Formats: sequence, structure tokens, C-alpha cells
Amino acid sequence: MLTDFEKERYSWQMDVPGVGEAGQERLKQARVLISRAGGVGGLVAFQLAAAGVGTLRIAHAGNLKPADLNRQLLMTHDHLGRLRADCIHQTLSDLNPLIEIEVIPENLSAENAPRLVGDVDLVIDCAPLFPERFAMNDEAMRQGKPMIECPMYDSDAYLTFFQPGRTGCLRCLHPETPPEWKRRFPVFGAVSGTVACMAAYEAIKHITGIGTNLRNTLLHCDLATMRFRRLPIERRANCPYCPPADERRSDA
Amino acid sequence: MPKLIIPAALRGRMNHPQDEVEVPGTTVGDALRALTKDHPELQDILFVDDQLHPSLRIFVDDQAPAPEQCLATTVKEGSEVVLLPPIAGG
Ligand SMILES: [Zn+2]
Repeated sequence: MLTDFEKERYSWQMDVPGVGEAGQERLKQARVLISRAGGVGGLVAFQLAAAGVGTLRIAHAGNLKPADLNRQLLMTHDHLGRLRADCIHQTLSDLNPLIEIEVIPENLSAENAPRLVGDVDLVIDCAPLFPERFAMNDEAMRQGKPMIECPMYDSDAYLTFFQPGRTGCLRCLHPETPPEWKRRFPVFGAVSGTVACMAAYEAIKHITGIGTNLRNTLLHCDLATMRFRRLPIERRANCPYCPPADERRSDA
Repeated sequence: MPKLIIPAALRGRMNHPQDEVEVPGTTVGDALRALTKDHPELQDILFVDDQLHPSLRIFVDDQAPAPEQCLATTVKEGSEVVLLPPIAGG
């Protein structure tokens, strides 16, 4: 049940056709895992906290460095040298103290993925390294949980919605880790924040049931040229990570 | 001539970045080989032993050719070929 204060706090978004009190209640009941709260994940978390997603679990290791601050907008100057997880928790709970925020000072790995993915409804992949992305993908597919994929590089952003049984997965899109990928990539916060806001809305649409998710479609945005394209993608027939195409699980 | 659409992730690897490159050819394979002839610095990103890099996604006029037939896919005058390498910035 929404409290009177929640009905007031979320009233402008409850006016979006198809949301109402029922949609807001679905947001309140939702549990979402975000892998890293950097330039992309931080803004995803900020939007979902503002929208009233009831439980946000965020995995992000390490201490805050000066070079994080151009894009990791949950981080504040006074936390430099301290645990990023504490800063993430502080900023999100300042924005919305009504929701549960669980920040784990670990990055996604094959070891912790079963635990971190275990009791959420939806995962959002914002890690800067392919092994972390694949670890979350593989576990989400195994557990039948949808995953929003929203990577960027320079002025490029990709966005798609993987739903086990109905779409392919990250391994279908990119079966092999590119050896040339580097941890450090060129980025303005305005670009990482753009794809983050679109990814957050994919999550909101999925949870509330409004609109249409980017299933079997890859959105490519090049913010340098402002070309946006919707491109068809599909499950690979021999993908060992996807569940069988007819096995409709979680929210089919 | 077909037109190759070069995303930022590949432009950053080019000695002389361009967001569109017109190349001669009637197949995706012709077009990509013409690209790497002029931009050999892209060879290792696009190809592994003369085969397309398995994680590179290619779209011709907003359609996705089957990966195994991609290089043989026909391109026409004015076709737009989008090359998307894997990216993971987050
Ligand atoms: Zn797959």
C-alpha cells in the first residue's frame, strides 16, 4: 500500500497514462540489481531511486578517485579516498529515504553473482569490464531474470532489453570478449548519463507495464553525429547461456 | 557505392577518423576489405584470420545478415552498412 506521502511524492509520474497507484505500487515492490554505479549505473540508480523502486541493490567496489568525478554523479568531492559504496548510499538515501538501498562494496563475479542476482526481479548491466558483464549475464539467464544492457564508449551508446526465453543475451550479441577492450574509455558524463536515463526508463516500463521494451532490438546512438538507429538482434541458435527459446520464465 | 557508418568506438582507432566512408564493392566483404585497405589500423578489430571478428555486429540497411553469410551479403549503391564493435563503458 502506498502511504499518503508516497502518493504525493510520486504524483506527477502516477499521472503518466497506465501508471496510476497500481503502477507505483509495482515500482515499490520491485527489486533491482545494478552492477556498478559509475557514469552509467549511478544515473540509472538515481532515476530509479527518484521513481520509487522499492529495493535497489548496487554492487560497486573500491575507493573514490578524482578521475571518477566527471561522470559518477552519485559521488561527491568530500568522499575522495573513501569507499564508493558509502558515498553511493549517502546520495541515494538523501534523494529518497523511503526506499531500501543496499550497496555492496564488491564488483560482480561468477562467485558472487548467484547471491547478488538471487532475489531481485531485474538486473541492469553497467560494469566497465566484459568479465563482469558476462558474469551477470550468465547468472541472469540461468535464473531467468531480465537484463538491461546499456554500454557506452565515447559518443556511442547501445541499449537493449534481454529477456530469457524471448530474446538473446549478451553472449548472443558478443560471443567473445574483445581482447582490445581497455578499462579506461573516453567519456563525458553527459553521454553516460544519456544512456543511463534511457536504461532507467526501460526498467520503469518493464516494472509498470507501460510502453514497449527494446526486445530483440539494439538501439545504437552516436551522440557525436546524433544518429539513432534501431537494429534487429536475435538469439543465437547454439547459445549455451540462453535458456531454450520456448522456456518462458520470469514475466514471460 | 555502399556507405559504411563508422561508430565512435571505431573512429577512435582510425588514424584519420571519419563517421561515414564510401567504398567500392558489391558485398559486405568487398566493402570491408576496401575499408581496411585504406585504414589498415582497423584490420585486427574487424577480422580474425580473414574471418569477421565473431563479436563484431554488422547491419546492412538496418537488417542483420546471418553471421556465417555476412561477408557474402550483397550491398547496393547507397546501401548503409553499420559496424558495431563490442563496447563496455559503464
Ligand atoms: Zn545467449
